[in-house]
Amino acid sequence: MSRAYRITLKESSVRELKGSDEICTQLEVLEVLPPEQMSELLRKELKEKGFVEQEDGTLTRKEGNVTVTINPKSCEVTVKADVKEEVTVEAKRQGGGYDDVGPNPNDVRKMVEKQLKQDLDEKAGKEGERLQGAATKELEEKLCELQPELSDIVNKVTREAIKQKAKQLGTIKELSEDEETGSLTIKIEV
Amino acid sequence: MSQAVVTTEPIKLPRFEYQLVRLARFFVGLLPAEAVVATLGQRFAKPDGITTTARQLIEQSLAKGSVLRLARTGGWQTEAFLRAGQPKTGRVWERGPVKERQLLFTDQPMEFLTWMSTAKLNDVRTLWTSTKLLSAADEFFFFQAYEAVAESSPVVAEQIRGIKVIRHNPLVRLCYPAYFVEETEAPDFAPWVQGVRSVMIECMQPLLQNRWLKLETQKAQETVWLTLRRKSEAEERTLGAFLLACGEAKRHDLARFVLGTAKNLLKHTGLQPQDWTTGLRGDGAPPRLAERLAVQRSALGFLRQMRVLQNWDREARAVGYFDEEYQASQLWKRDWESHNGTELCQRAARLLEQAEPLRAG
Repeated sequence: MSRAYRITLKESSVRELKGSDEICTQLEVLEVLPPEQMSELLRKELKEKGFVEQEDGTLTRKEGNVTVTINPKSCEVTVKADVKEEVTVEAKRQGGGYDDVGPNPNDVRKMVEKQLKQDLDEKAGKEGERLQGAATKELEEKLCELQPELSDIVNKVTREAIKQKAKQLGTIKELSEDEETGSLTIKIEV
Repeated sequence: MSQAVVTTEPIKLPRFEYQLVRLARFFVGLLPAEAVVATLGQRFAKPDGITTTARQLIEQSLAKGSVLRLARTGGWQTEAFLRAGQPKTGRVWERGPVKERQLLFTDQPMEFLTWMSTAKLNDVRTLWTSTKLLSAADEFFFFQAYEAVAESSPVVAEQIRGIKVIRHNPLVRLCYPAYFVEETEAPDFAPWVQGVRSVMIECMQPLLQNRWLKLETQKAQETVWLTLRRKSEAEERTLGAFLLACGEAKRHDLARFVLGTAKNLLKHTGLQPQDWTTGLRGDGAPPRLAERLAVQRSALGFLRQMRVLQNWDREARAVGYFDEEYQASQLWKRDWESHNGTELCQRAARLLEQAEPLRAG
């Protein structure tokens, strides 16, 4: 007489999952002064905005999961979002058979374990996709915030460069700036 | 050049030779596709040899057809192109001595025609390989052969695309870059900006302009993100290599079709970068912004190449009256101004800028 049996396995695993996304682009800085002086002005302005200088000469600022890196020499901007999360994934599987026919309990157990592992990997994959989506969303949101700020930085650098250029050309007699329109009028005596 | 076959009687040829003559004429545009397309891929029994009559007929067809093709495509137009650094105006046969535009064929086209009529085209193991150095006329013949097949029988075109003389043919690659996405290296265009090959490029300007306009407008119909990226990258790679060769040889006039393409492409002022990618399916979009941006950037590859022309223009404007390159630079400036190059470059730059997610500056 055959006896039926059932094997139930439940497993959970804690995994550190990551999602990341990044874009690289270029700041359009006018070459009012020689490149070294322009990069120095940009460096100074970025530091005022909370960017920290790194050993390789780049300036970075980390806000939440997003890191903004600017190379003041090449004007290359990299915005990277890294989302990391410790996720617990759980799965449960059952297998069964008869003790006198079909695969033996050890084989059934192995099969269930294999299926369980696949389930865990699948769930982890879905969680990974979720984190990837979160990273992309965060990056997109950050780009919207960053655009006016970077435009402001570039404008300030350009204005400062124009002022220095004016000083090189002669004596500044009158200087008026309109913060709202961004206009800058300099009268110099050569 | 072959001797002309002169006879009052209709020439009788064996079936195999008749097929060779038909194919040759179809490839060089002397016979419409409908007359031959059904026989493409058919296998004929190969005889021990080919009669002199058939050989002469084929040679005549290649010679006359190729010349006619070049003349009709653009050679008939009164245009100015450089000869030894000086602009020469006129139709192609008025711009220089006959010696500089002689077409000399080797036996390779004949071998290819024989292979096309006898081989199993879909068997990659039996793909035809040329072991000889091809002449300019041969290369032009292989371009014409591929073009004729590509426009009438895409299946056969795909089968012969693996042949080295097609795959590595700079003219084929310049006109059909998107079909060669797996080729990571651009073809060598250096021989095509000098000698008889450069004369061919001169004649082909209208055809190249139409091809590139088609390539650019077709991007909007592509639905798969990765495919668009791979095709666009292949196109930019090819055009970039061609412009580099033109620049190095100081033959900016050979890139006139790029200006013509840009003029037609950018004539509408309200263009947006998304106009190049409107066909892409939303559900197939890559999850990462970096990948989506890479596709968008690659789709605008043609516009990026406008920067090369802009640099040429800057260089031309710096050439002085007493410089050796003065006449050549004047010709370029004339082309540039007649196409409104400065405005085209501004529009291209604006579109490229709009495609960037961070537009600071």
